[in-house]
Amino acid sequence: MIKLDGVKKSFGKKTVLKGIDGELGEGVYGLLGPNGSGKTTLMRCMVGLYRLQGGVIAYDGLDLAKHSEVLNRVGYLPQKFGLFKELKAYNMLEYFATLKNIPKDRQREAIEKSAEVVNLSDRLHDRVGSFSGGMIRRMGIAQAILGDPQVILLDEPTAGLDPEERMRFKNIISSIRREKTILISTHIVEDVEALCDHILVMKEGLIAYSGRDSGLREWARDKVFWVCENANLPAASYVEKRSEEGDGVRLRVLSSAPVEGGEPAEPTVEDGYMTIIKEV
Amino acid sequence: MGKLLYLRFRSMGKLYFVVPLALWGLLPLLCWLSYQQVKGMAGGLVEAAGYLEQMGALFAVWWPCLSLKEEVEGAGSELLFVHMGQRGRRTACDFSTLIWYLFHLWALGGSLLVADGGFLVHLVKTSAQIVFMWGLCYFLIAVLRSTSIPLMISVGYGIAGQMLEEPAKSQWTIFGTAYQVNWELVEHKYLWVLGIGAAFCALGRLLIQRWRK
Repeated sequence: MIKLDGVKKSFGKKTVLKGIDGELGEGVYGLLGPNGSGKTTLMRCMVGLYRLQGGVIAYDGLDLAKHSEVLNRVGYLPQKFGLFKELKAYNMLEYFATLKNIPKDRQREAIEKSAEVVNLSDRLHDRVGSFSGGMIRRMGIAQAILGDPQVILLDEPTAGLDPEERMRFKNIISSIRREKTILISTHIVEDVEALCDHILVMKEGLIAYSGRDSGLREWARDKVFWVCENANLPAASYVEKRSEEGDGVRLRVLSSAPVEGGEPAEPTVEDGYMTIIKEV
Repeated sequence: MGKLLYLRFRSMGKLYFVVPLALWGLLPLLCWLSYQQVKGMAGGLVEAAGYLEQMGALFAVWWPCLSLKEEVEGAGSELLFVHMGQRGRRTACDFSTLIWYLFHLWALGGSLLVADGGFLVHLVKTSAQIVFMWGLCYFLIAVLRSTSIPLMISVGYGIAGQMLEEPAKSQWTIFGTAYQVNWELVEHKYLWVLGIGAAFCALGRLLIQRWRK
């Protein structure tokens, strides 16, 4: 169990986290938010990279600031990952296994297990430098799950991946999710919808929403419409999608005010997210 | 810890071998040439001591820069910081490059200089110079959060220092002329050089620990 209690972080005069509260138990959590909302800062605070200006982050009741050893139970994949290109994949994972204090006699087993999960077993003896971007990302996930940590924090794990690699990533998460707390930070709503039991939406350094995807959809209830392309749209409306149907073209619009001639549509998680972010 | 240190050196790839090639290939070759030129054992040894100082101090900064490159400039450096910085492994990992380098120097210098029993003083002096150069580079890495700029500054200092003429060379740099080296000089100058080098090491360590806070 991770407990965040009034987590605050500033850089100079800019306050990035303004008091984050929350509890993360078992399950997959999606941390959604636009660029600059504080997702990465929160992740970094959760692995002790930043000293907090206020609040507490506790793992199973142990304050991270006082008990850095709790990080032995945490696997972390940062936004950028691409280390040790000169090492073979096995040696790189061995490096992290040693850093994570995995006993020597268990390292081989742990490395082979995590390589298998990310489908890199046959590339373990190749140089990391010869890997594609997607494979390096998978190596990152492999090091994060090395030693079977209880908590896994993944910062933008699908950024820059092609659809096939994203699909593979979803399979990996599905295969490791049992009895773990997994927090995935992203701005790709589709990934969160496909993977997460619980969604957190961050906006301007605060948690603007915390709950299930159905709850997030409800935020956009009666705010989504299908309209003709040439319809007059209210000022504060956002076109989400364009669809060609028969002779005409229809637009999917998010708007707090009713749209003239608009046909109400079933809201999606993305609609709910946009409603919060754009304050529709 | 042994495995960690081994993997850290191994992660340097082929560039690791620049130092062994310089110390075990180029330096003995220069010494052999100087023996041929001066045609005398004692003179040749002094020349060799000079080369040992020049190359020993110059190449001392190669491994720390390479070993810290991933942590300073590598993608995912924060991950290494999470595991290295906060769990007390950094000191051993960082300083292993200095210790391993000094082992090379002592083994090589021992075979080149101490053979006749009278040149230990040069080895002690060069060790102090190496600690200074290593510490300076480490400190600069910590301050500038870069490895290439400290490498250039340290190498620049090493080359410029060697190019100065006496007495300015002995007076203003950590270097000196091999003919003038004796235990008294080591006591008066190189203990200070060693102390300042150690202070740079400690300061560098302290500053790196505070990164990303």
